[in-house]
Amino acid sequence: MADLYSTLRQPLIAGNKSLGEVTNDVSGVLERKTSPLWWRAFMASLLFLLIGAAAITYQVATGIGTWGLNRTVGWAFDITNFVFWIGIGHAGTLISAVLFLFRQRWRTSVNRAAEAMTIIAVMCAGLFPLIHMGRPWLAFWMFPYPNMRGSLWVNFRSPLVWDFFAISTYFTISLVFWYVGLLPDLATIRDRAKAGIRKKIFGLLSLGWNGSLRTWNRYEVLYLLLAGLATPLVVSVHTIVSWDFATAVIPGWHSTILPPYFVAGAIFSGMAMVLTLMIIARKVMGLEDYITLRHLDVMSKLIIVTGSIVGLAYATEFFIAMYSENPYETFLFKNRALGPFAWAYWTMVLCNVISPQLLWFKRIRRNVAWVFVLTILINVGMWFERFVIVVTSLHRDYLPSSWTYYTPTLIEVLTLLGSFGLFFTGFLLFCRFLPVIAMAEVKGVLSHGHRSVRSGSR
Amino acid sequence: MNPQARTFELPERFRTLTTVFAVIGGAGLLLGAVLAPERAWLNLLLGGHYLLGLALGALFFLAITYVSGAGWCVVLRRVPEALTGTLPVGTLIMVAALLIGVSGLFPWLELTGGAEHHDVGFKTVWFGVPFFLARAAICLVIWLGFARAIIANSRKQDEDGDDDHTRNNIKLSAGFLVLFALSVSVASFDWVMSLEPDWYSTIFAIYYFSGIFVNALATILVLLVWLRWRGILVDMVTEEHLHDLGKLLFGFTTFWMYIWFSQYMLIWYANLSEEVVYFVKRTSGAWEPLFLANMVVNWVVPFFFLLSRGAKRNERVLFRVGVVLMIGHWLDLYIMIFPSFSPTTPPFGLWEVAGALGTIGILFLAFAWQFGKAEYFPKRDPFLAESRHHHQ
Repeated sequence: MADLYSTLRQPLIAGNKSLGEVTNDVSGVLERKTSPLWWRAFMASLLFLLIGAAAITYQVATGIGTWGLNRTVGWAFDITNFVFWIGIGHAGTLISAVLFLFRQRWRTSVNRAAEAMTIIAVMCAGLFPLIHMGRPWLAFWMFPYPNMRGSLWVNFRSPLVWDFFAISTYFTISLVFWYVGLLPDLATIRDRAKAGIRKKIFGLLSLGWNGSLRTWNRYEVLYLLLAGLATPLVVSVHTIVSWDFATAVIPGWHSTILPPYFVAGAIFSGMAMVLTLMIIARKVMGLEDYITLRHLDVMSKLIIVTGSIVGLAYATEFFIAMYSENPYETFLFKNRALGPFAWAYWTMVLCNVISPQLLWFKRIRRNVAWVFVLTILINVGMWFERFVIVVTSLHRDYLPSSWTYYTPTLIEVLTLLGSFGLFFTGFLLFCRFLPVIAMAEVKGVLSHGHRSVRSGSR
Repeated sequence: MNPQARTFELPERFRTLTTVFAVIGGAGLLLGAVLAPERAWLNLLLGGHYLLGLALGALFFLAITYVSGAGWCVVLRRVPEALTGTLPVGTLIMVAALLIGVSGLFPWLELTGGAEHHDVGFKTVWFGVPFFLARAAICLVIWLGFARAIIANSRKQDEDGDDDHTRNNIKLSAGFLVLFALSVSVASFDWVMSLEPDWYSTIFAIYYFSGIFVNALATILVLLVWLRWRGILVDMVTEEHLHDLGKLLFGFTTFWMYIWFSQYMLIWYANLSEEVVYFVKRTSGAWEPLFLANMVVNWVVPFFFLLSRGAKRNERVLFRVGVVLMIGHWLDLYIMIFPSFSPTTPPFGLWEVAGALGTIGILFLAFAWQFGKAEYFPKRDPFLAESRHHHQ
């Protein structure tokens, strides 16, 4: 039976593509010679990565005294970066798992790239706690296992340990989910490859995919189950990140709204980063028929939703600080808005709350340049949000004699740049060697066999 | 083939029963006003929250399905629409409860009224009675306005079949969702959280919202299955639609648990005296079993009974779980509202029974009144065909 669709629905993929054209358009990018543009971007990213690697080597060799931390501000730049990257890593699994369960068919054009982005972003995030340990070669102490260190166990009551479990679980499931989704496409590339090393590699990676009904059947069951498992993980990861702060008794950190607020903020920033990357990718790789203006439109709407939740959370925190009549809470929020870090606070408000309101206008949602600029602003804003939460809550504590300011050192800034280098290097490698768009899934949402009908009639 | 839509009338016996319930509720209230004014008021407040929350939750359901362009739920939309239509009833009860409350029962009145109070803090201003009532009026007017407009567009479409009604409702829904987020925050702080005037929790509005939305989904399911058993919408609403509603219910009960846990765990962990006071009351004495039962009824039961695919496609299971959740929401509100007045023992007696029966009676009568105002399904909605052919 042909699927029925309302006459109000627009096709998802432009250009009236045939199945073969989809395969050619997506696989073609991988089979052509590497473009000079890709090389230039790759070398630039690699340069940043190397700078970051040098900075990390220096600070590990010297010690984290190379940072701008002081007795009052004990957490600052690296925790900010950690939370920022984890947040970026939220959109992928949201798009692939949550939107899959909600049957949002537009997700097929962007889910693959978003998932790849997620995995790389989680790796970038993982870097920072690792460096923060000071002795990263002892990182395996985080694993709770019977050991010979005088049976030294991790503190199960610490949210930092929960974080370790949450993020490693999230990373594992995201990776498996991404890989399982890749299987049919890897097989397509294998089948298109001429005999040789390429065919062997993709043959190995596609795990003997044969495209039979039974294979597809099992694949779909597995995909659905993984989506069901990944959905609570999307929520849990940033929830537990928020607990790193909210379980403390520090005003500005201890707030019950933090879990859902962090999750919404993470999706907000992740969606913005997906859009930034997709806007570049569709242009460079000529995928405008797949990642259409409609995709920008719906993702912009998700940005409004999550951005508004974040804005509401800011307002709620502010309101409750006043309502509580707790002098420390009240001071903290006044200090955020009017104190020495007011510039960071207002950057955050401008980028996260005010600028996204432009997306209420359809003409802006469907304007590539506008969306691109706004998504970059959101990413800046979300970085500052974490900076504001971490630093402004600490720098003026209960004891006015210890009040101070925080300035990052060059090493910290270079490490952040290095993480961007890692992120873009990873993403460019993904674009070069793997199909950026889930071909098999996109084929399922082409308009062939769809009938548009009005109400009532059969 | 286009099955003819018809309009609804409550079966005779059922009408008698619900009328009796409503009368018991009203009589209980009047009697209580004389014999136990505080208890009667608390039950009135609870009933107001229950009915108002239900209508708002249903309106939220309509709004998110409009803005997300959902087509699957069109065949069953008249049920949440009718629940939304009961908003004026909930509003009346809530207005009565608030007016009685500000005349001497809200515990924060001593903050604003007492001359001996030291200095003018935020709460003194916030809880000034005229300001309090003005906020309530703004919230209620916003909700009533959007509910009326969205329902009117949907019903008008039955007559003229104009797609613009759908487009207008999408715009209205987007506007509603923004104002709803703000207004429900204010309402939940003002009408529930303020019952513990020294206590505060930033997540409280989300907790309140999650409760009303779960209850709306559960009630939609219960009413839908009940209507099908009466031979209404049988050939329109299939197990595919029930399955989707079941999935939403499953998801949002877990969301409720997530918000509940976030609030409880963070307050428990930080253990600050001004915050734990809320949970200390609710976990001491005879409140503790109810406190635990809340989690069982509102999350454990739906989670395990709705986990399997078969259960979410089985109308009997959905009906029973839905009824459990409808009771669960009453319990949840009860635990939010009553302990501040009765810290050691949960009061349960004639007044609560009358209040609960009255709420159920009014709910069904109001629903039937609204469901009877339009045809069983929006027969000229542009997404109707999609909805009728909905499959996995």
